[in-house]
Amino acid sequence: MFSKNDKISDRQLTAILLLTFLGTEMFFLPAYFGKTEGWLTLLVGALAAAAFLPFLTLLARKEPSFTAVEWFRSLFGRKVGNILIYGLLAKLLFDGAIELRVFSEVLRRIILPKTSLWILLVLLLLLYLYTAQRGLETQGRAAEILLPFVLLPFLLFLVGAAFSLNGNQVLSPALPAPLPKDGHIGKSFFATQPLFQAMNFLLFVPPFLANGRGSTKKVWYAGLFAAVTAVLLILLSFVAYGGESLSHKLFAPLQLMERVGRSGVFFARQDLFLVWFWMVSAFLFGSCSLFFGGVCCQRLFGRKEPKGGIFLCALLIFLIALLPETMESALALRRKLSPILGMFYFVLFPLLFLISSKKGGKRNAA
Amino acid sequence: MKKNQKQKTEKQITGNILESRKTMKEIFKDCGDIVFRDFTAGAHIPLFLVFTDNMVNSASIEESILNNVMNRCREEEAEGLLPVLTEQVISGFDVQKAETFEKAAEGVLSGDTLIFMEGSNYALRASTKSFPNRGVSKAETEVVVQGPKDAFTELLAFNLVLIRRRIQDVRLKVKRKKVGTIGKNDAAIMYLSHLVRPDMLAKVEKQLENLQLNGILDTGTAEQLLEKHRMSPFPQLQMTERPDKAAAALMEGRIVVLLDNSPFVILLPATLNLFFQAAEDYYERWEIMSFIRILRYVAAFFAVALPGLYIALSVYHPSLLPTALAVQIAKTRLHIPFSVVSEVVVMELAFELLREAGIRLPSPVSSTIGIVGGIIIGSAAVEAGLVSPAVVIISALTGICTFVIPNSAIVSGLRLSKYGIILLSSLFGLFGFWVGLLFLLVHLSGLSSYGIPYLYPFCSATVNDDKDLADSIIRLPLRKINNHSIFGKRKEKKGGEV
Amino acid sequence: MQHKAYPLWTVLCLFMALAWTLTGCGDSRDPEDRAYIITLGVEKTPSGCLFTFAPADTGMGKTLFSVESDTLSAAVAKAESRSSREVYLGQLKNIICSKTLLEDKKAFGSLLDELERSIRISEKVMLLGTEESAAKCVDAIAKADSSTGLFLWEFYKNTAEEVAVTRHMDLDTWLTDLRMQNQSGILPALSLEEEQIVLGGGIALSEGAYDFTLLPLEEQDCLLLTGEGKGAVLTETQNGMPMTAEIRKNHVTYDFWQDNGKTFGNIHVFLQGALTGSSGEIVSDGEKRRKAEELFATRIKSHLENTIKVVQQKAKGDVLGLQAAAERKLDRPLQSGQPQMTVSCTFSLIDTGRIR
Repeated sequence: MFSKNDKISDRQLTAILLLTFLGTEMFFLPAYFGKTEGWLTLLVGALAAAAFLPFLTLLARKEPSFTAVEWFRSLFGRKVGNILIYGLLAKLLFDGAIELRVFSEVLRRIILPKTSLWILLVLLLLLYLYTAQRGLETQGRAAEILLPFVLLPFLLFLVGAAFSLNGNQVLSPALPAPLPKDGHIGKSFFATQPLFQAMNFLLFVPPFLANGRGSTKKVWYAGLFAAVTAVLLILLSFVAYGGESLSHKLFAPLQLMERVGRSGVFFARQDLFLVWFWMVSAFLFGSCSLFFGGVCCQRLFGRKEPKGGIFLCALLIFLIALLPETMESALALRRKLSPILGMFYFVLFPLLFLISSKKGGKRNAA
Repeated sequence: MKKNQKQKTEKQITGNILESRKTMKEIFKDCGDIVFRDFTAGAHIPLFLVFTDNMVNSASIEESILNNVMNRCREEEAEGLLPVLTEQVISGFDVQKAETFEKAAEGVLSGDTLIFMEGSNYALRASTKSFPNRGVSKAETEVVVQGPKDAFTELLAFNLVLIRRRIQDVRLKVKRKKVGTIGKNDAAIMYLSHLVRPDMLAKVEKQLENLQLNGILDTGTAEQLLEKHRMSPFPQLQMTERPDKAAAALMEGRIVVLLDNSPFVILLPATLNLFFQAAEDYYERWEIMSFIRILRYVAAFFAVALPGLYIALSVYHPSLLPTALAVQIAKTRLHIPFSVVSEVVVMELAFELLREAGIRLPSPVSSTIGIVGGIIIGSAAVEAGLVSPAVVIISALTGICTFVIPNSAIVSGLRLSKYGIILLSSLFGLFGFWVGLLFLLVHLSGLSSYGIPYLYPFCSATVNDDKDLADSIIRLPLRKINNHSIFGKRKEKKGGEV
Repeated sequence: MQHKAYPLWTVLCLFMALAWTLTGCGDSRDPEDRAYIITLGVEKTPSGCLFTFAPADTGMGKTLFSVESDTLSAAVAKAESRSSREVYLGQLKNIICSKTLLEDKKAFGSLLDELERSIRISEKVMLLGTEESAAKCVDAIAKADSSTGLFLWEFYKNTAEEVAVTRHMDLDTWLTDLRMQNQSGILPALSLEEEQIVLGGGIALSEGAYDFTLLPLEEQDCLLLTGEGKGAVLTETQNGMPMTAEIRKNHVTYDFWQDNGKTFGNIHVFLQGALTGSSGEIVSDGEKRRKAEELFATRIKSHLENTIKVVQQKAKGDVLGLQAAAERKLDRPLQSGQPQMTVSCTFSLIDTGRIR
């Protein structure tokens, strides 16, 4: 971290994950899960999704210098491995592009309705590029500094929103909650996948960790925190608005937190300021996607530095971001593709890697 | 230097005094301030002195050299004279040999007196320095209420003494260097040998040796040449005119670079946190000082963000403002001919002009300018309907916030960043404001000073187990402040971490 | 990791220049170029809706203007075509809907839809109903205001809410209530008495349209039933002497059960009050104090049960939200319609005043 060796500490990795887990998907989860048993379904599904986080960090323990590129090549050989790596790269870029697009649309709808979408996309992309170019160390430091300025106010607003509920409403609509029905858990597991899309980074981060072995617990805590926060958000939204109303609300968390108000506070309205939380999340997610995309290209094509790959990924992200017609179609696309790709790259392949590593022997990254 | 001249200076001194005198005369041709004084000693052995007029202590030359040599060396022959002069006659405290004309010329130009003797293949270089100086005065740029008030001067020797007095430890080392290809200015590197990081010290020494500039006339020049990120408006090395601050820096394991003719010294490495610390932070109680430190950081934020935030809220998102305020702003702007953005930019620039004018003018006039510019022009502009009162207040508040920060170098960086944020806010409102802040944060996160992250200890504090946070945005009681700061020598960990 | 930032800075500068010239900064407008609408009145007319805009006074005088149009967006566009300033709804604080609008389900529904979708309008904007003309109410508000136009907002904040005269009904709460209660609810009412603005009572809507008007006391009872009765002043008579209690705390719990296909419910109202007069004897005498508490509890119980009965009889929909609460609690839709409610009340005196 100090020797300009582009390594980040556990704390910095945790900060990046915590902030990126607060992604744009949080805006839309309440509408999706706005039912009496919805919050419980989400909790189970989210915990199940988060449960796979430690597997990814175990990979870092086994081979600290390996990224997904080396893992795939060692397991499947160069040819097949490369194909799978291209798939992973495509997932990384796709997730980054959709997040960029969705956030730009959110900005356009809430903050700058008359500004062209492409301007917002380009400005955000320039910010991501500038950050990614400076390396992971810079991003880790920025995340560490931004963490208290995002997480603390976010939690304060959640608490404030809880207090703003009508005293008679507190938890009564949501408790007791019936147990989730069979198919719902599986559905919720898939639906929460976009929440954990930052798991992409765990496949590339091991060589950049100052202390890879100690990060498992912290990564899991970060995932747990994200799951609990999402559930809390949905629970509060459900109690505040009820299922019927919630299913109509596009940005329920913003509206929920907008309810917080005290006399004498300077700002009468705070919904636009609340977008800051997601601004930081999108910023870190985008810059990390670019950086790790560059790292993937660097290792894939045998380059010395990831810089060229970063620029290429930026261009591809911009083009993919322009593809969906509307925000809703972008979200639908993400909900369709992310879970499937997530199953392969976050569940299946890490398990295969771990099983193969248990068999021992020197791993050849080919 | 021309080839002939160079050849002359590199020539060895021979025993022929006439030749030596001729060579020295040629070297110092057309130098009206170089004095040559011929005299004899012992058995009519010819000698001559060379020194720079007004750069030497004349009384010392007369008494410890001329008087002693002339009166006490009557009987000695030439052969053993110079050693006798060195050991028994010349009563100056520092007498060295100069074997070449280059060394002799160097000695003359640095305030020493050179003594040439017939038959001797070296000259004596007696220390007789006496430079004109203004003495130790009060610190002008880093004023404190409680604490020592002395400041460095232009004389390197005095500055070294001011630090030595505060650290009476044999481990305080001073390495002397010459910097500048023509100027050959004296420089000194001070450090505590048991605390300093050897790699950092070696790097600094190498950097100073490799400086390719005609002359380094001030530490400000050296600072810019030693910095790694030269395109950044933020300083990565700290400058101070206070000896107590320099001593404190040394005790943290940092390095102090002093330059002759400059009353400011360089402290390195430097992090952003250090620029928000004043010397008196440790001389007063921790509660009040913590409050003031928090105030400084808040002021820094306002100095950068306030004008941009005002533009974003009043132009793009007035729904966020309290109704009464939004309406009042609109009311006061009713007949203003300029847009909000132009108004803010013009007022900010006006304030910059006032600030610059105040620095250059003599002190009796500068306070008048402050009153005329700040109060009269400001209120006249409002009454004339050229600017709105809100913008005058915003600009004034922004300016005041910059004065709260103890270090002017960091303020320069903040002042420039402010315009970037104004530009982004004027284009994209609150979103542009956030983008500007994030750009700034990323820029600062990417800076480092001799391997230490610029934003330490707000980031990467785990390297020192978060101990340095006790002296960051708040200052905990002195007993809780870490004596082993990150700047000092550390045990190497695995993975190349230090 | 080495990086050269020059090309990136060049691109950024070019982009900024492009952004400046091409976009025209579409969302920006200087503050004085906006008319900050604080109060909006909406009423139905034969040819659409009449929207009355009351802007804040920004030095150009308080100039109300009315526009006839089908929708709010069209009204704003029409208003802007006649005004030198942008009609800005970001500072909108109050919307007054007249009875004529509330009686038209489609028109009112369309307005609510627009309000919900608008990014400019805050969800904290207050919604009120009136039996008078909305334009007259807006005019009266403008006249009563001496400065920015926040008269009604401050009226609410400083007094009306404090004495539980009316519920603070913001847009967010209203839309939630409508959705939870099958498009039924109670809007706070505004009326004019000799050009004086009076807040009190309520306007009940059932299935999205005007149903009936609640008297001020009935509205107060509704507030007590929802636990929002803090500040209410209740007066009872004991031994010919009036006893006044100011409610300091109000909490309710609901309980529902079904029996023979019918739904029953009980609302337990917990009240804590402070006596504001005639308390001399009660201070020293515990028995008398207990009797006073019982008196208040009994009378409040009967008031509330009466109000529930009257409202349920009058209303076509679930105006009080009792049916929705029962369905949530029992987790099934009620076939038998509105539940039959009883009220139990616990009243305690926490403060018997100061005897000088």
